[in-house]
Amino acid sequence: MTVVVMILLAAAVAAWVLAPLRNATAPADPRARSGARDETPPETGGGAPGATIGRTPGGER
Amino acid sequence: MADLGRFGLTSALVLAVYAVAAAWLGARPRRPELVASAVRAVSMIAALEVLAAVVLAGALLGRDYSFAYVTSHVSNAQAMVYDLTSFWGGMEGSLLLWALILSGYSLAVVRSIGRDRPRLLPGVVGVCATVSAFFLFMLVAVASPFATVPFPPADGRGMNPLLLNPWMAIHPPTLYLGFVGLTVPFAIVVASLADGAIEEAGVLLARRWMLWAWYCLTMGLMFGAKWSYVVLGWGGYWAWDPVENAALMPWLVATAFLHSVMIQERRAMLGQWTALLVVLAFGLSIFGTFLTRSGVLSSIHSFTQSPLGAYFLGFLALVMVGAFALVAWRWEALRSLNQLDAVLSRESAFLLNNVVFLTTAFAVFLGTVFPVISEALTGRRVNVGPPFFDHVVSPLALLLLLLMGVAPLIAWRRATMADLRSAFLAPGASGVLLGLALLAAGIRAPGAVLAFALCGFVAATIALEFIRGIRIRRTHQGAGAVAALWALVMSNRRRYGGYVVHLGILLVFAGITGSSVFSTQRVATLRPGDSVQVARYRITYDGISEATRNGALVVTARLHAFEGRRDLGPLDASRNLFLAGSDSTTDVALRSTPANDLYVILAAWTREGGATLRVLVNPLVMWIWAGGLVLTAGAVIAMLPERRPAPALAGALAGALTSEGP
Repeated sequence: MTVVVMILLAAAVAAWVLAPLRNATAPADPRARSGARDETPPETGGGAPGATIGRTPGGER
Repeated sequence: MADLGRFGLTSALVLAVYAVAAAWLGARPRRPELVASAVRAVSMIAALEVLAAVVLAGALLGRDYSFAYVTSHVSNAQAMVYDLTSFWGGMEGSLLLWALILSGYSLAVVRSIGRDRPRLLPGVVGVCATVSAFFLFMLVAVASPFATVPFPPADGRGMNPLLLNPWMAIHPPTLYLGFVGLTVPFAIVVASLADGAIEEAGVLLARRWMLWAWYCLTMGLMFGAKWSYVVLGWGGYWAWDPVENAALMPWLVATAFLHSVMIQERRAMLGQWTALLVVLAFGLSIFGTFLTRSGVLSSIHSFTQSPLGAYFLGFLALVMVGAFALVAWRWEALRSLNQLDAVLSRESAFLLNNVVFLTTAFAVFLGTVFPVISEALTGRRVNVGPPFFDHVVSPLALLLLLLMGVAPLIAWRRATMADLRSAFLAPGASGVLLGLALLAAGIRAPGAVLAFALCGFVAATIALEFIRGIRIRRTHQGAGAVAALWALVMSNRRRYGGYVVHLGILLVFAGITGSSVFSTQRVATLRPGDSVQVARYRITYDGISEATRNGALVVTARLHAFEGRRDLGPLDASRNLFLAGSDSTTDVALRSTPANDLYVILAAWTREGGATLRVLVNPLVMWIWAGGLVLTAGAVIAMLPERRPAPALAGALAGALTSEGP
């Protein structure tokens, strides 16, 4: 029982301590990084090329 | 449960090694994720050490004799509170306390530095984790508190009876708070030197931490002195014992630092010197821990055989070489931006103060290690006793006392003779008048007259500083005297807190002088009904009684004290002879007043009812303890955060400072 507790505790401690490294090395969404722009052409009805993701056609109000 | 304790310490050791590596790799080039991970490791080290400490404390309180440490330091007859204080009553437990306190400090400094100077974070984490790793290694591999015994006994041996005292319950933790606290300024200075952030004034950042460590060291020394006075029963409070000296040396260096850092802050001078003082203070704290834990004190011959001592010496050498190399590397960057303008200046007085503090520390160091040196060189062990320390340290202490009065009143940069005359005429006259009054009162001890005259001089300089400040505030703000005093102290807490600390030191100094120069004692063998006269006290011996209490035969001499015709009431002087083993302790009969202590020791007794008493009258001892209280008030004031922004960093201030005054 004690051994199981210790193993679980060690795993939890290691996971928490190493979490910043995992976050830093996780493959990031290239579009989300440093303000990358979506090169997808705008839908018909408005909006300029280079508008950021999520904007509605015709621009955000 | 011992497994859980071992798990806590081993995991903490792994994390400490990881934190050192992550902080190192994260420093250059900057990799914040590694540093963030190292910071998390520091938090987890603390948590795992708390786990280990809880396991040990539980075993001690639960009297679990399957732990070898519990068997050695707890017994069924021992009071429960001392079961807990036995945590630091033995080597393994005290090392765990060291590591535990360090982890607390590490958490605090990482949080503070992460907020104020994130650049220094990798270095601070690296140094704290390195020191933690060393102590954890000792706890895991060399002196584990979680060693178990195959056949647990029904009862333990209990703590050394001399340690079963409330003062001993608080003395070690307080002293450790000071000792371990010296790691923090060391970590900050090393981090700023490694980073090259000299302009970030790591030394100045270290000041507040050093002040706290200094205060804890001071109180630790005080508590130790009080314990020695009331428990050891030899009539004094300081014996120049190597254990005492081990705590005094870093205290002296830390005090020098707290003065030299003012010069660095105000005049951008002594940067190299101040950095060296921080390194030295930390080195002496490890040296002190080595002295008290290696066995070198109990038996000088175990010095080379003790594995603990060898590890401590190796670590000390490694850290000192590394730190001094770092200071040497940044030597030019630490160079003073200003030169000493004149010999008559506050800078000179502070410089002299530092030289005297360091000389005193060196003399104490030399006297402490002299037996080891002499044995190594000549094969013959030569001890230097209290007379050596008294002869060397007393004149240096008098010089420090003089400087304590001179330095705060002398002008920065350059003082003129006219300034000196106006600043020192009244305080100087006060000191001289006090000296003359003591001579007129028939006191013929020149050292004591000089010491008290200097105390009078310093007290007058401090009083004048307060009076001057209060008068100005009352003139400009129309406040009452008490309100003006409060506003004055709160407006510059460091300065006036420092003056209050000086007042406390004055009281301690006067107490030491009075009790060491004017103590009188008499040894007398009495039969019931006999009396002995010592100074103006008369002690009547009424008889002896015996009782069994807490596993000891308590032999008590019943006494009655008189001062002239005034009945001061009954007094009891006892000896406790422990039934298990051959230990004995003394309970002195003590009656304290501000003027003097009446202190009676039961030295011996006969079956016929006779008793041999050692009666001492120690003047002014209460002043020492009162000085500790005053000093605490001053330190608290000085540690309060300043309301106004701290003076700009030394470099920026260097050219701008032209005004006088602290």
